[in-house]
Amino acid sequence: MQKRGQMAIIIIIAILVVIAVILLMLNRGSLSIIGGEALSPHSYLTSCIEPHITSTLSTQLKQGGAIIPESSVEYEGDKISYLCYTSENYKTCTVQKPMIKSQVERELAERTSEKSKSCLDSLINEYRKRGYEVSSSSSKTSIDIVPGKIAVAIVSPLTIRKEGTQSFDRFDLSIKSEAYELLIIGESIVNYESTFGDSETTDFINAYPNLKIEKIKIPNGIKIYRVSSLTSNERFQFASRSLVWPPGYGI
Amino acid sequence: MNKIMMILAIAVCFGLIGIVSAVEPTVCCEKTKNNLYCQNVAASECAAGSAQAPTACDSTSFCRLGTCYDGKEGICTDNTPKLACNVAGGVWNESAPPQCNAGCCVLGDQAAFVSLVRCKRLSSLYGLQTNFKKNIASEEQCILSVQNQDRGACVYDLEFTRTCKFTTREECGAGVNGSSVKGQFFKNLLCSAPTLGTNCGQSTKTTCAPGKDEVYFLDTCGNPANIYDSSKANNPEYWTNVKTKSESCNPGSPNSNSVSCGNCNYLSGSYCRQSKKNTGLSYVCADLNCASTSKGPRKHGESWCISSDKGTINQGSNSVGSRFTKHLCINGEEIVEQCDDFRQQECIEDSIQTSTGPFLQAACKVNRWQDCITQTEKQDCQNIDIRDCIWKPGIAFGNSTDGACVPRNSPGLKFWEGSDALNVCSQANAVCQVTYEKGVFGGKTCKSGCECLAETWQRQRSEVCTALGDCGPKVNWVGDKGFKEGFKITR
Repeated sequence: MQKRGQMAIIIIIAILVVIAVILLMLNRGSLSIIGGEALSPHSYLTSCIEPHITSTLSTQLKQGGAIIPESSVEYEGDKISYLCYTSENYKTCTVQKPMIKSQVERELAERTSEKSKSCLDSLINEYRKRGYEVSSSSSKTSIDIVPGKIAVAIVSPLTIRKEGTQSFDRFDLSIKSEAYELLIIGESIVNYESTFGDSETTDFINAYPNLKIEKIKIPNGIKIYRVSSLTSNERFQFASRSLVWPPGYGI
Repeated sequence: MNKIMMILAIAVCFGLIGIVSAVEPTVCCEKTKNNLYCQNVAASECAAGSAQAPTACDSTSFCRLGTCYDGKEGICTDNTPKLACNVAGGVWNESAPPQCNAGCCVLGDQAAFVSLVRCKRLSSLYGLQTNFKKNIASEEQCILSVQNQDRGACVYDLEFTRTCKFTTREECGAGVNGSSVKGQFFKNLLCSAPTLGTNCGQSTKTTCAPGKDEVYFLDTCGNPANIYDSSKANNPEYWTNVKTKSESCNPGSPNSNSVSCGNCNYLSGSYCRQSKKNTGLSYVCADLNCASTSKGPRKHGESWCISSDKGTINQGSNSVGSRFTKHLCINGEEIVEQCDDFRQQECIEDSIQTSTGPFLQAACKVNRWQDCITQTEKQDCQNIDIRDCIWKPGIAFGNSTDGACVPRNSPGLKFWEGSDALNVCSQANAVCQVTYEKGVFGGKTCKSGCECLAETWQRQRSEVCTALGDCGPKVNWVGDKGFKEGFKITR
């Protein structure tokens, strides 16, 4: 009898422990851990900003480099900007958006500055919750699309005091992306379109084996180019209308 | 038989007749309402406040095309209007500035034929010293110049640790990773060579190296070592000396999906990629060839023509709505690229003999049909340097009595709108006068034009008609007949 009673108690305690662990795991986010791990501003900001940048960039790339395309054609539900266009037949196109990489960077930085500010505010609040004294001033965000990544620079002087003092002038974040290659190849294709009226996609594929380049022809002589990375699954697409041969004698 | 006159009026000659709708004259517009720069459009399409001129854009000052220079990336974009360049933040020049002159930019063991500023930009992005050779005038020479560089271990001290980077002799001497730290170079030795005494050693990790086809071992410092060979993973000699591709495992084979050898070969259809299968390997030689396509198994890079419609090609009887398509095998996938609509492009195909068999290549090329019907001589008609036509012998057409020159692939037409289709098709209209002589006691005999009474004549006229475009009795690309006969014989 005594043994049975002991067994029962052990089983009850075990069940209670399991329930406690399950509750702990479910509420991990809302529990403050006593003596918690050190807060890394770099990691915090990266995890806060990265989803926004990835999503904004994906939209830009899908729409020919613009969040709100100004001159575009609709294809498969997407509004795709013209990077090179002519309204005439038998003529090569005029470049509409030179330096597309720079334009994407500029727009991405504009769209990210609000988010950077809110992430910084959130970081400051987190420090204050942990008993730190924080002083900060206004921030400025710049974005550089380079090979293999998006380099985000948030210039924001920040001083954190508790037992010691830590000062930050800026935060340099890095987000993996193959956008650089996609955009540079896009610029190259536009150069061919404006000079020769067409481009040979297999030339690029041979030089860049990790890219897939598709050329889709839609009515009225418009081409949709899709440059996709086979390693990151990112895709840049844009429209072009160049050297169009109209049906019949084109009268 | 009554006297027969066949009359089909010849209604048009190259579109001079038939245009009745009023067309608004175009102007050169600096910016249109659709935010397009420098377009020849109707004046009503111009954005408010933008410059416009009643002439072609090439003749205006505000829409002259020039070169837009990106000072940060060192990239020059031609055929750009000044306004578009200014909006993008570039510097516009009427002709390409000297900053756009290309030379050979050496980037480690690779090269790029780019401008000096671009070279500086690429070098800084890859952490290298700028090495620009302006005396090398061609891309081919540029690539050849880096192919035989000495490569080996560059040993240097970093924060009191003797470490190493596998690189070229030039980079080792100029400064490792773009810094001022110069190392000691050991040709044809790997960083993991024990005699070098560095902190770099063997590991089981693999990687793809930039610009290389193969899978490489990675040492503990992150340097690529030799080509992955599972049988040599713990071989001290294999981790000491540099092995060439031909000295590595299975050099003649693509080693596609091999778990033991990473000696990939792009030209044979394999390339280093992340492994998608659960093989325990991070990287393998991925098979780039296509096992199954619309033309059977094909190699990576091959392309071929497909014209899957109910008509025929190259005989002047293409079906309505049909289109040429070019298929490619790229990265193990069959990609379809359409040639221009309305058969304004046709697909041409040929094969090159290689050591592994024929290699197919196809291209979409312009269908030069426009001046076929004006040719009266067979030799001119079949001149493939200038036009894409076929000669139909024995058919009187136009000024020719012994044959008709018609498009080899009949062009598509917008027959549902406008008058262009009518103008094209009516060129095949024909009038044939048949003369009879009445007999004294009744009856009549055909004296001239008797060939027009034969079915052969009707068939030949029909052939010419269908060859000119989407004219005459035809089926569409899925085999459905048109609603009307497509021709009419009037007596």
